[in-house]
Amino acid sequence: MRNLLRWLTVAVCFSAIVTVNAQEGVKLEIVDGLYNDALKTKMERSASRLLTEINAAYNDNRALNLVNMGLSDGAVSGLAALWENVHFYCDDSEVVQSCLTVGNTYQVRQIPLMIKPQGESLDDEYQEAVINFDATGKITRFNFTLSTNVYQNVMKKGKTVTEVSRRQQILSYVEQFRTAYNEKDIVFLENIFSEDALIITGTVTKVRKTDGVGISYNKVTYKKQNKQQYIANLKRSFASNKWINVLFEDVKVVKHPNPMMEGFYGVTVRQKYSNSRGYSDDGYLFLLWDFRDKDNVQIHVRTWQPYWMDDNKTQPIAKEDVFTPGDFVIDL
Amino acid sequence: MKKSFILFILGISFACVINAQNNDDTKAQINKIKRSTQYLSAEATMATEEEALNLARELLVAEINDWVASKRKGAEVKQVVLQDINSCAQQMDMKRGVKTRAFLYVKKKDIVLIYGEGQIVLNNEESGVDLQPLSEISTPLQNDVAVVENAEDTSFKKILGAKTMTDLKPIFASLKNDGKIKYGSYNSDIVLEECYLLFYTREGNIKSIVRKNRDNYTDAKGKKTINLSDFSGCGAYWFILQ
Repeated sequence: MRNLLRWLTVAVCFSAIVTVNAQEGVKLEIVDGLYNDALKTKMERSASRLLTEINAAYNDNRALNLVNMGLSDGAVSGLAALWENVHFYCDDSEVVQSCLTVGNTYQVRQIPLMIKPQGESLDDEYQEAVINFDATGKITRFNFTLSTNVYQNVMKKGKTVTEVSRRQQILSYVEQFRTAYNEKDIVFLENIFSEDALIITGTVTKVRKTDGVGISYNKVTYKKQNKQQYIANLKRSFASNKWINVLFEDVKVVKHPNPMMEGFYGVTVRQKYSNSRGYSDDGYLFLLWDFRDKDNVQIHVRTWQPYWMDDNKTQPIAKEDVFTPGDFVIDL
Repeated sequence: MKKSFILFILGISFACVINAQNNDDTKAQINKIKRSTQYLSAEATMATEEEALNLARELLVAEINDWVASKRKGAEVKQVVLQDINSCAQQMDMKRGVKTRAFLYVKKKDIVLIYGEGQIVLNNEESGVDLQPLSEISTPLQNDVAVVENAEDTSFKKILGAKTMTDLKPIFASLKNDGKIKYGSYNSDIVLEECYLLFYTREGNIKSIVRKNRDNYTDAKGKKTINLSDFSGCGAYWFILQ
């Protein structure tokens, strides 16, 4: 009897362990949005192989082997960099999703991932990914996505086909921009900021009034940096942290109000930043994007303002104080 | 003591296996629906079940709107009589780590499209033959509606026989074809001295037929006064029998 119980325990525990491991074989199926069968099959195959390799690497705790996967160089280097900082697995053995067309490229969104805990968290963290394909069906990028509600809120404001398409393009860049921090992709960040980019960082300072009553209040003071200073600081931060996690919430996309600034869009996001050294912050990130040249998209302005004006986190910054595109004039 | 501990471990492990199996079954069911061309679906994973359901509902409505817009006569659709998603869409939820995944779906056949002046069309083909009767999921007509004693008896009886908007569609179409009815969707801007008002719920169930005589609203027998606020949240059609 004792032996039987022992064997049963081992068998059931083994089954339980097997079920919490990542299921290695992943099959991705596109059910809608793409009607070229050959292209669809190619995309399904390469995405399935990639997700299967991700799960195998997760289970074996090894580096990703992306050789002969048919991925673009950018996708290979991006994924390898991401994997160095964070490990994850696809939560489903069958992923059934629609395909979105973005210009002449494609996206498959809502790929369910579980991320190995970072920092003090004990639970796997859920995160969705997007796989980007070029017109021939080759995987060009693997990015963590903005959450579905954030994406939906931005997209539903697009009224015309052109607007919808532009918003898709903007969000695609925002997703890559966000993932670049997880990947510590300094090359992408160096390229995306224009040479004369204006970078402003705000901090809350306590100011004492000089009326003798001694009342103090909190005020945001701003520090200006140029691109070179910002990138140098970023390199130091990347080098000294095992991992960096950036989350974007409440994304707002606004066209520049000046008709002379056609192609400029302001993107405001609530950014939650944390790193392996225990630093974290919560603030509004404003980016002024220049989409005039779709092959050379640039950021001209990056500002960061704290979300909370007090230590107790009871007083958020006033909405009217958050930067918008109209606050900046660019010499064209 | 040792035996109890082993049994405890066994119990926990067994529960894990069962839970994982349930999750796998749900995932398989979700994927089956996603693959089917008969359904529209949406899913969301959020911190709480309520948030996930709200977002999935919003995404499903967007999905339905896109589907309507893509239809042959999509631009002419004046109203989409959605079965109330809360009651008619099936939902499945499951855990993704500490978050909750909600999946909502609705059968395309259960979406009622209303084109122009009261023409009720249930699907793109307008054939009506392949429709799943809404009556299968509907509740019985709640109000007693008696037969009226006049020349429009036959037509009125037919209308009374309809329990749902699906039932009503061929009846209205046939009476209109025979020149026996005039009808249209009703709102407070429409001024009609005498007519009948037919109220239906968002689920597509016919709730009541009310006789309107100037500012008086009575039941179909003309005996009991009706308060229109009882039909708050319902859709309505006016009709006049000829």
